[in-house]
Amino acid sequence: MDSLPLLSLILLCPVVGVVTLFAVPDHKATVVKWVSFTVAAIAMLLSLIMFIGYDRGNAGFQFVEQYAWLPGLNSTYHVGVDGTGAVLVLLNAIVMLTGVITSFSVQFRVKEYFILFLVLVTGVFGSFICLDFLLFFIFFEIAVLPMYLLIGIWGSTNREYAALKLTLMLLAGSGLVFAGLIMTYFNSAVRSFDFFALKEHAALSPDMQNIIYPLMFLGFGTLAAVFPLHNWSPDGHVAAPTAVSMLHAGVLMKLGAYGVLRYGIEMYPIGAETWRTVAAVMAAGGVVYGALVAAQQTDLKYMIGYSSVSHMGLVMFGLAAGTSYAVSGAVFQMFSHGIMTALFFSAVGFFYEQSHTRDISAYGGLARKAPWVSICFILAGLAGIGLPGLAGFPAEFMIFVGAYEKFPILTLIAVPSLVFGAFYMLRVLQRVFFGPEAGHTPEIRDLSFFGGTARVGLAALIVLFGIMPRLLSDVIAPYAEALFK
Amino acid sequence: MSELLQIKLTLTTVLAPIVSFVLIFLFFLRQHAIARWVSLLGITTSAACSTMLLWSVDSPAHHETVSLPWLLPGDINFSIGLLLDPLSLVMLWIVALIGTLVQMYSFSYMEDDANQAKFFAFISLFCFAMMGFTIAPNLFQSYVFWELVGLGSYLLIGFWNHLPSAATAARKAFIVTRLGDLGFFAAILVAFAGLGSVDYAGMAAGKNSLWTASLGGLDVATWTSIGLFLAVAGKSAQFPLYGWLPDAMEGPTPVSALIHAATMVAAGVYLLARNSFLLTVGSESCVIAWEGIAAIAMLTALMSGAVAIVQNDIKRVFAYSTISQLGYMVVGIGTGAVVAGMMHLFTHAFFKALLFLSAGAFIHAAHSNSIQDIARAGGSRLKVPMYSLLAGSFALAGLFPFAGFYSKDAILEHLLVEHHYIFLAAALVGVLVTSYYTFRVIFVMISEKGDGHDHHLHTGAWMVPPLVLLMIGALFSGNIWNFAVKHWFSIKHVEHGNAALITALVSSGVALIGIYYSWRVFYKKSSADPMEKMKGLANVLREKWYLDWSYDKLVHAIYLPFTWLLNRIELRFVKGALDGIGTACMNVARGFSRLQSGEVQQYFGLMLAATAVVILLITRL
Repeated sequence: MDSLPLLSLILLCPVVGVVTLFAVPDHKATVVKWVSFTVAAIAMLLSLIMFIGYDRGNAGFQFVEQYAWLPGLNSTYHVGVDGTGAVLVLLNAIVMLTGVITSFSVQFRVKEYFILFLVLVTGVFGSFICLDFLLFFIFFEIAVLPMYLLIGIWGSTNREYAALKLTLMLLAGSGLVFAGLIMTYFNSAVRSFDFFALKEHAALSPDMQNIIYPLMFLGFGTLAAVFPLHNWSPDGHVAAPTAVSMLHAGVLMKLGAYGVLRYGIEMYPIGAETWRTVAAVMAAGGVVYGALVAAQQTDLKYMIGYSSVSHMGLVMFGLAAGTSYAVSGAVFQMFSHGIMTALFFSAVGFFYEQSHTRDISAYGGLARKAPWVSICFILAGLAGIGLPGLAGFPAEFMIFVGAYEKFPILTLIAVPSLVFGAFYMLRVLQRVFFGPEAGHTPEIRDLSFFGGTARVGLAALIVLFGIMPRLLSDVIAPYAEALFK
Repeated sequence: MSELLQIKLTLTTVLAPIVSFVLIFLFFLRQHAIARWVSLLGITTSAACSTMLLWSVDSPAHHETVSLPWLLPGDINFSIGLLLDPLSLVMLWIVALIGTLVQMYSFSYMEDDANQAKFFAFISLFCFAMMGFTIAPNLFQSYVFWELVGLGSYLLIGFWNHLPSAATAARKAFIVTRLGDLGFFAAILVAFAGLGSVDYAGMAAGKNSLWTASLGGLDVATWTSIGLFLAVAGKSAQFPLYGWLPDAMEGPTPVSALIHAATMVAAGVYLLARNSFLLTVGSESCVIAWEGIAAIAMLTALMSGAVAIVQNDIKRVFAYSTISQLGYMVVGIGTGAVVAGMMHLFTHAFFKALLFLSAGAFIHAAHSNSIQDIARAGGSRLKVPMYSLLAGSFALAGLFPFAGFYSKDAILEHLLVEHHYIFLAAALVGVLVTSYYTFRVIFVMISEKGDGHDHHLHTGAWMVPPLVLLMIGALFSGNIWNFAVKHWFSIKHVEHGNAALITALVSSGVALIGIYYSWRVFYKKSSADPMEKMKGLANVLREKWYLDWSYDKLVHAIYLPFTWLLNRIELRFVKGALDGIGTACMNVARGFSRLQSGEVQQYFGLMLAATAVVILLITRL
């Protein structure tokens, strides 16, 4: 087991998928889909093996591999996962598999779609496991760029605009990160891109850290949709095809938060300390703002988009507070929110394919027409408003408890988002799933078995991690505690 | 009984209903007959086990805690476990018992419903949540199950969710109580930050200096108390958050019985009782806060009692009476009479469940909620429901020898002994109002002999046993408490001279006056309805003190416009700024692109100009 290069194998799955797909003829759509499914399933299995095999008593990096890559720059292929990485790799595998299943309904330019999809996933896997700043940055770009094509070609509502805005904003963010990367490289005592080397021996002056940390926070924060740099995200969600929304909200935004944690807070602790309050105010602002703006949305995807702004705000708030509870909660929330939004978008896509509308008022009484998919959506919704017993609660609770220590007033400002969330979410649940039936509902059929596995599976995970949060927190907590020793 | 056996029994009690829920949900959603039996079996198991547990309580000091870290590894602060002491065991027993009777009753009440399997699944979930809340050894677990109780009520109140009114009532219940839950959450944050523990035992034993540490002008204990009371005001329907409870009538009647007797609303009072140690650990400001809590509760009791007078829906009369009785409980606990408050919770559970279930029997038979309609349909000919309505009403009015007499007097006696004379006077006014509106229902009912048509009124077969058992409860639960339960709570019995006798006589006298007046107005019709004379007051009461109106304004005139404004800002400025940057870039680019005209003359001209500039610069230097 130990000899198996598990992380590289996981990373290789989508790569093999991409290469294989190039060999498949364009018109064999079914083959394309099943090839993608197979690599996603293998990646899922390997990630599960990795997650189960992860030593919970050990806070350090595990499954580490290191090979020479660019010796001239002191950059190596160095991979490994710790508490955050392990959780996020698992999340990415889950969203990838369910995303592929959801994408079986894609009809147009199927091969190109799945190739781009798998390229995107490769980038995300790579970013989560890389321990080399330069390599990380490359994977990070690989994860971001396919979004432009995926939204621009397969998207819906206002797709060119959304794709352009998303790409430009994320590239602007990358620019800031790249500037920070270069500054770190040339100002550090070690001239290396290796994460450990930089973290231990970079010896950056406090002034330098104070300059670089904001670059990292804003750069990665853009991808995490931190308020007020969030505006690309709801538009992007709405325009993107279903599975791309799932990936986008499910894992890409987490990549931003992960960047802030690993290449921000861990690398520049002094800078993070200096900018703590500013970061917390932005994050808490997003929590409340997102929940309030969501109440005005009439499009289901916009509603979810703004709720994501609120939930990602919570992640950033936890990170900004920087206590072991808060960071554990933030990482937990990355996972919970990933599963939750993947399910949201998957369910909305399912409705949209059948009725071609996402207008909330066009629906009604869906729970009676299509009970299974409705239950899935409702569970995600209840998890979103922090109901205990579902995966959102442990995360929110830890974040608030941890953050109160550092920012009591801000925390008490952010906590009412629990009510604001309930307000818009229950309103939508009532309109869409309960009440009398509206014009569009008669056409909606319930989930098929195959499509059902994805949605019901995600819903089951929401319940599982809600009832047994220790499944995750056992992995996360040692890491978070070690971080603030 | 060994500790291990006790723990096993508790776990069985609590988990049996959730097992029923899972079984029904996974396998029996379409098999109604099996589903209802699975559900009843689960809750009966709970009732049996909790009875055995109650039996095993042998000393007042009995106290048992088991906790396992749930949220984080090795972190005992946020754990799930169980706390067994007289308070939790008595509460557990009430929940299981009332739950069993209500489910049995639902066999008849829900017999024609197409979704009854789901109904039984939800009601099992609801009971599970309440029991998990009851045995919580720390604030954290209390919060977890408190929220689940909220979920249960949401699902059950909105059970007939194809009716917009039911769906709206469910949403209102959830959101209004959640508003209170913010207080709960804040209390956890404050207590944990201040004490480093949210465990009840740990909190009660917490250093006095930690509790009285100054925090934003007040102290930790005070803020915790205020936060918790907000939560209690939500769930236990106190001013200003009680507006959801009367609307919760949209749920099936057995649900109302459960919510009003043993689960939802009882949770708040129980939480307050559980945290009553705060009264002793805090400073002066904390004591004042608890006085304030009692005052708000007293106000609630009077306000809602008055509203009950003008209600014509039989369930709404009882709903407002619940709010009023909850007020009494909170007054008791708020002024330090925890045992008396819990006693009233105990007896109230029986007689209020009885009242709702008998109301349900009338509604089920007459197909109307209106007292007048039921009366016209000949409701008074329904034997068993009529007797149970009478028994429940005597208990509610607090007349000897019914249970309400003992428990209400326990609170009144405490108010007298502790010199809370203002509260005492207000409470007596409440007694008058209570007996007046309670017997209004009965007198209206029996003043009509029915319209002579044969309505085929009948009482469902499964309705009778619960009604009979609850009638016994309405009669004897006060005595049961006094003889069997009271001594577990280590209270030193102090003789207060004639205080008990005085309050008993005075309050009974006041209640009889209320009944007499009610009889004159509604049966003999020799006095005019006072509400006819006081039109202004009657209108205010019919508008429920404009509380719903205020909620409505809060949402539609403040909250929604504010979100609208934010949404405009989002579109106009946040999105607008980005679009603006985009447009600006485009314009600049367009400007420069003019230079790329493709005309040789223009390029040549530019070249000459540039050369001239360069030459000029060089020669100048």
